[in-house]
Amino acid sequence: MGPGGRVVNWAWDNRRYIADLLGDHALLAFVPLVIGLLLAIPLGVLVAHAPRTRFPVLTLCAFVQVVPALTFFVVFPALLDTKLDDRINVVVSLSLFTVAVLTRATADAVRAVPAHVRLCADAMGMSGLARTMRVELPVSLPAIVAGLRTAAVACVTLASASAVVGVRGLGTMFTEGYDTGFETEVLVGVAAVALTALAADVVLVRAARLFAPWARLVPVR
Amino acid sequence: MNLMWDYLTNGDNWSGDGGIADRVFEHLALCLGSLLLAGLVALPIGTMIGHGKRGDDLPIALGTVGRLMAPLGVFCYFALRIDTGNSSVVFALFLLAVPPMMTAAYTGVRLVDGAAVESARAAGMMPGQILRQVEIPMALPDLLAGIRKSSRQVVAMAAVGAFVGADGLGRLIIDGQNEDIRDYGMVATGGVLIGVVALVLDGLIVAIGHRFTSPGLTARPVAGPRRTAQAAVTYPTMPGAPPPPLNT
Repeated sequence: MGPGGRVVNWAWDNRRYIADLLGDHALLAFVPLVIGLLLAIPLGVLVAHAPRTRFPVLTLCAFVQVVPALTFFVVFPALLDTKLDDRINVVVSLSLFTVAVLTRATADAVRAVPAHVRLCADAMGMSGLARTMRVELPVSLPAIVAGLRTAAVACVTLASASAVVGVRGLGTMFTEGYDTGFETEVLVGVAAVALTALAADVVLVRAARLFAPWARLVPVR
Repeated sequence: MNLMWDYLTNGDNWSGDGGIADRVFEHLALCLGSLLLAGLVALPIGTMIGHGKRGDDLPIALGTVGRLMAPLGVFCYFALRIDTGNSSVVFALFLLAVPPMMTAAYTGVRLVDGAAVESARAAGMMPGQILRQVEIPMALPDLLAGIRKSSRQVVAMAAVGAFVGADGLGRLIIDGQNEDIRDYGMVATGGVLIGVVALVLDGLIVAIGHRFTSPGLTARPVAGPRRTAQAAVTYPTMPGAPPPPLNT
C-alpha cells in the first residue's frame, strides 16, 4: 500500500478524532474571521471617509501584518492574563490579523467606488449612512471578499501553527505525529488543513457570487 | 511582561552558546539563506514566464497550492522523512518561500503596461533588452512586494521550525515551555524578538527596494486621487444662472 492509501485508511479509521480536532480548529480560525469582519468594515469605511485617519490606521495595520502570528500567540497570555495554551490567545491574535487585512481591503475598496456612482446616490437624496450602506459597501463587496479570502486561508494555516504552544486544533496532528514519529498522521494533518482552507475559500467565492452576482471576482494576491 | 523584562535584562541570557544574540544570528541565517535560495529559483522563472507567452499555469497553480500549506506540517513531514534540524527546515522554508515570489514576479511582469513594451520593441530593442531594461524595472514594485511577502512568512515560519529542532529564535519559545525550564519570560522574549526581526527585515527590504526603483514609478500616485479632489466636482447648472460659488 502506497503512502496515499495509508493516509486515507488512517484518516478513515480516526474520523471521529479528526472531526473533533476540526471542530476545535474551526473555532480557532473562523471565529476571528467573523470578529475581524465586524470590526474592520466600520474601521475601513472610517478610513476611506476621513483622510486624516488613513495614515495612522493603515500603518498600524501594516505593522500587525508584518509581526508574525506566533509573536501574538505568546505575548497575549501576559496581556490577557491567560495560560499559554489557552485558545483565547489564538482567537484574539487572529482577530487582530483579520482586522488588519480587512481594514486595508475595505478602505481601498470604498475609496475606489467611482465618483459618478457616489454622485448618483447623492442626487437621489440618500443620506450619508444610506449611501454607505446601500451603495458604497455593496459596490465594494467583491474587493472586500477578496480580502476575506486571503484572511480566511491565512487564518486556517496560521491557526495550525498554534499547536507549537499547545493549543488543540488540526495542528495537534503535526505535533503528535512528530513526537511519535508517525508520518501518516502528519500527512493527514497537512491534507486536513489544506482542505479546510480550500473549503473556506470556495464557500467565500460562492457567497460572493450569491450576494454580488453582477461583479466579476477580484483576483486574490 | 515583567517576566520577559527579567529575562531580557539578565546578562547571562544574552551571551554564550545559545544566548539571545546567538539566536538572533541563527534566525537571520536561516531566513536569509532560504530566501536567497528561493529568490534565485523563483524570480528568474517568474519573470521569464511573465515575459513569454506560455507556462502561465505554473505560477498560478504553485501560488494556489502554496497558500494552503501549513508550515508546521511541512516541517514535521520533512523532519521525519529526511532529518531533524536546520538543513531540512531550510529546505522546507525554501519550498514555502518560492510560490509567493514566483507569483508576484509573474503577475508583475505580465501586468507591465503593454504600450511601454510595444514602444520598446518599436525602438528596436531585442526581447532580452525589453525584459531587462523595460519589464523588470517597471515590475520592480511588484517583485519587491513578493519578496516582502516571502520574507514575512519565512521569518514567521522559521520560528515554528524550532519545533523540529532548528536553531533560531523559535528555540526560546520551544525550550521555554520545556518541563525543566518552564520560563514564560523566555517564551515571550522569543516571540517579541521574532517580531522585531520581522519588522527590521521588512524595513530593510523596503529601503533597499526604494533605492533601486525608478523615480518615475515611485512618484506615481498609488491609491488614486484623494477624496477632497473628488468633492470638488461641479454640478451642471441651468443656462443663464449665476456661476456657482467657488469652493474655498
